[in-house]
Amino acid sequence: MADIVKAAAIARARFYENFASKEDCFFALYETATEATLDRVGTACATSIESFPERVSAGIAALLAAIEADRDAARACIVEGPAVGPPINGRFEKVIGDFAALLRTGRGDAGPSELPETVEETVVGGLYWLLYHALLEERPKRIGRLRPQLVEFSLIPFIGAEAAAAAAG
Amino acid sequence: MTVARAYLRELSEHGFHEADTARFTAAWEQLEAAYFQRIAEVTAPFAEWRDRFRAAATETARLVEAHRAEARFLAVDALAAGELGRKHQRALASRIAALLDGARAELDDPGAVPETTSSWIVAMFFDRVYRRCTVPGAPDLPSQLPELMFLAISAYFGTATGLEELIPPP
Repeated sequence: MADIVKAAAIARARFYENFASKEDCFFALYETATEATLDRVGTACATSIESFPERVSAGIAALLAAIEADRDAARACIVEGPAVGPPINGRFEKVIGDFAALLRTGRGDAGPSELPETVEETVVGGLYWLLYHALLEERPKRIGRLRPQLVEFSLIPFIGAEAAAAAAG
Repeated sequence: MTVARAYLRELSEHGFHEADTARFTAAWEQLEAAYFQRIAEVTAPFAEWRDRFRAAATETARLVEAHRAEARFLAVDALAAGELGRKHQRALASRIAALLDGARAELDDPGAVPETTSSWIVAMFFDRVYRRCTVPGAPDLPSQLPELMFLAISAYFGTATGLEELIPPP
């Protein structure tokens, strides 16, 4: 707690006017950061872009830009979040579900009709843990370099490996 | 396995403490060794990557369901141990990814798929294990296998080959 109030340059009493606990403060950051990122990604892949691959590419570029823009917040949410324990579980599930819904809405009729209903959740879950490991490595340029691969992985189930590789550029 | 099981029970009741580092490491190493030994046994009868992978994935899903405390330790509780847990998880993920990347040897052009393909597959499987351990009512791992197999095989061998995994066996 001493480190937090010192870094924020506020009195301890002021902290407790805003947050009930350190955990409460962390969840405020988590929810604010994840909602802002979801908005940013949603805007980037808005339906004004014609093709599904372009929407996915734009969405992933926006996601990586958001991570680059505030790496500390990204690390707090993506890396430290799962270490919090049971109170994070519902929030984690919501983040995966929200991004999966974005992918599902964007793809429309793309992809074979026999795809399982949960394929978007699985794809987003895979993206999450790839980013988790990339952030752990703490190599700043690594995140940006992941873009083509993340785009390709996200598209393969829906448009096929060859088209996904072409779209990833 | 006795050491690992005793420590897991204690960990679930009291949480991780820095003083437990040696016991954490011993428990992890025991479980990891037992896991890879089991995977070696179930994949031994098969020559082709796809069959070996299917056997390994099926056994992994079975183990997660049959040994929930151990699965939870490896996937979830290890995260609460901070850098120690992350270091072990990273090493385990890398080891599994290296095995999975053997699929390249069966491709006409081994360089045709991204270098992180096996890490991507490990990430998707890990996510399903993590959520199975943390989300009440999350689908059991065996029921998720066709989807995971489809995604994994599509990533190496194309979507048409991957879709075969979604066809229920006769």
